[in-house]
Amino acid sequence: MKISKKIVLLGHFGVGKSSLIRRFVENTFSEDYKVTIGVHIFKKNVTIPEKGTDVSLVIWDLEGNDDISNTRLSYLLGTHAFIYVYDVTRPATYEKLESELNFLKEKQKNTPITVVGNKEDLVTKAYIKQNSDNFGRLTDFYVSAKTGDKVDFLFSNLAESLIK
Amino acid sequence: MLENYTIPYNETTNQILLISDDGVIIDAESILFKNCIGKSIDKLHPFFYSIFALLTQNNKTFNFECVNLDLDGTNYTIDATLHINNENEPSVFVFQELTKQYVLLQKAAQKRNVAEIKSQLLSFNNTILQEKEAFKNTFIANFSNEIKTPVNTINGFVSLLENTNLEQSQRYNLDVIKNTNDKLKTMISDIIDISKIEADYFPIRPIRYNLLEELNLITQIFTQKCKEKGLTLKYSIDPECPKYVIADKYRLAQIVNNIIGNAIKFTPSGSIELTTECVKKTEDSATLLFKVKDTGVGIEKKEIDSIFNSFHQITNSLVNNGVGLGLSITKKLIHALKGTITLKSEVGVGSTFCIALDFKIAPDQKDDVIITKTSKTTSKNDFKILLADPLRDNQEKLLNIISKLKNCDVVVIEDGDQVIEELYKTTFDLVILNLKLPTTDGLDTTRYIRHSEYKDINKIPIVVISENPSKEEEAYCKQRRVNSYIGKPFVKAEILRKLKYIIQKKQA
Repeated sequence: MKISKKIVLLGHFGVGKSSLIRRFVENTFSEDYKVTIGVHIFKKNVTIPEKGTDVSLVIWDLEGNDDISNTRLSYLLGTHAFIYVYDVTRPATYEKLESELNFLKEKQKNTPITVVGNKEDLVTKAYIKQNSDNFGRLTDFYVSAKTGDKVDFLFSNLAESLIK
Repeated sequence: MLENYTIPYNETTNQILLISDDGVIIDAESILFKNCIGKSIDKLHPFFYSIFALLTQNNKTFNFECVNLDLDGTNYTIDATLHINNENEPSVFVFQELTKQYVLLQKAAQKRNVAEIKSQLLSFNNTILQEKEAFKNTFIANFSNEIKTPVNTINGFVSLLENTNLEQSQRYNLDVIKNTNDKLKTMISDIIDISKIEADYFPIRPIRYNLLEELNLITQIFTQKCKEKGLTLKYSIDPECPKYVIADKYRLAQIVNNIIGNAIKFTPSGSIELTTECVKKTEDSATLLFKVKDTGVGIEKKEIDSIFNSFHQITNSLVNNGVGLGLSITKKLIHALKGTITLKSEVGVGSTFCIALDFKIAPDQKDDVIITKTSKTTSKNDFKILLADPLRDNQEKLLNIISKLKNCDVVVIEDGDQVIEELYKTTFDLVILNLKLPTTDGLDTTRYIRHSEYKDINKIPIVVISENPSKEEEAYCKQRRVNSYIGKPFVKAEILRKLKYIIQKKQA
């Protein structure tokens, strides 16, 4: 039995949303930054062995926005889960984290949000610990699209939680 | 010009799909989506997956702008509008392909975002660098302070030993220990200074003092050092120089000491000349030029610029003494005092350092009164007070107040390191410390006293003097086991009451 789930990635520009998806879907990474305009849509099947189920993740890679209220709301229709991505090295991308998450909760009630700090390879564990007041308490995963650290786990964990 | 805009639009491709309630394509041309009639929309592209849920609604319109679709290996950027009609009527999905238009937008966004990200990262990297630098400086300052305590302890015990009967060889050995320890102490002070300067925590503490007396004192010390090395020290001062100035006495001494000390170090034979010239004078200020000229080894032109850098040592120098911080500190100190330093040098001929500094002229030029003891005779039963305050005005006022107390013997000193040495030499009943003591400040000195295991030093009552008193500071001092806190301006009755209380408690 195949189930499809729509996952939308949001966050400021340049935080690595497209890189995370490329790492997950194609297992590739490029240092070159290419801006996303509008939305790109990808699909990848994930097998959940415990459930004997395949989940087809339809992943919407939205263009980065420094104000979430500018997001085209039609993109959010029918979303099963959000992944909110910020860049651990750029305070501008997590300074308004709480209000951005509140905006999403308001627009799509009961849709789970996973908060991800990307580019963890560029900072030390001590730095992340020091910033626990800034982004730590709201973050679910620290990942690196560059090294691939925890990227597969992020999506497969999400897929598993969506079919519970 | 209009055609630049219209041509791309004329080249756009449109397509309409008619879709049933259950998402099957009823009718379509074969333009973007080829041969799609009869197929379920989710087979065309993952984009259509979420459209299924919308098809159950009636009389609604949804707009999807700027959707990138990869169709048969070609990327199209489209605007799509979905009209959902009444039941039994097919829904209409209209697509307008606008790839060229969005490419223009993409280029503009790329440029803007790249610039923004660069600027944010630059700011982040700066913050990280500053944090690392601050951590390094704090670490070095704290670490050096920790080392300073045992070094001062050694000095204290050396002073004790000096006053005992020693054989000649023992006295020689003690001199070696003392000289080595003094060098170590200078190095540590230099490291603390440089880390404070780089951490931007370097307070300038101007006081009124006799400049001519201070310069005389410095030259007296260096005359002896020059003699020991077979050099001569020439000293001249412009009679136009003000006698009394308001300036940071300790920092000026540090600057002149560093430059003359350096000249002695790099001059194997000949002379060193210190001239002080008044180059500008008004009613309340003067600019003085201190010139230190030596007949030393000189510095190569290529080294002149880097000689003021931290940890710099002259290449091929036969002298390897210190950590190379002296001139760096000197330059930074001069900048902190808003002065300038220049250097002219020729290899084999010598070097000349010129330092220009502004001074406030002290209005009251009365002669200094040096008082160190208030009791006319000293007896064993006197209450011994060690007063450490760099400000002559404070010293005089406090001595005047203490003179109202019976049988008190006061020793006055001016810096924190001296406190520690004095405590080893003599047993005191009370220590009065200005919080802003030079070398080791009042709180660090308190910390040292409270942690000392020598005799009963840690039990000595401590009174601190604050130039800018506050309740928070008083509470903090109490936490650090200070017995009493005196703020300025001095209130005679209050100080007397506090001192009497300590004396009575101690004598009881």
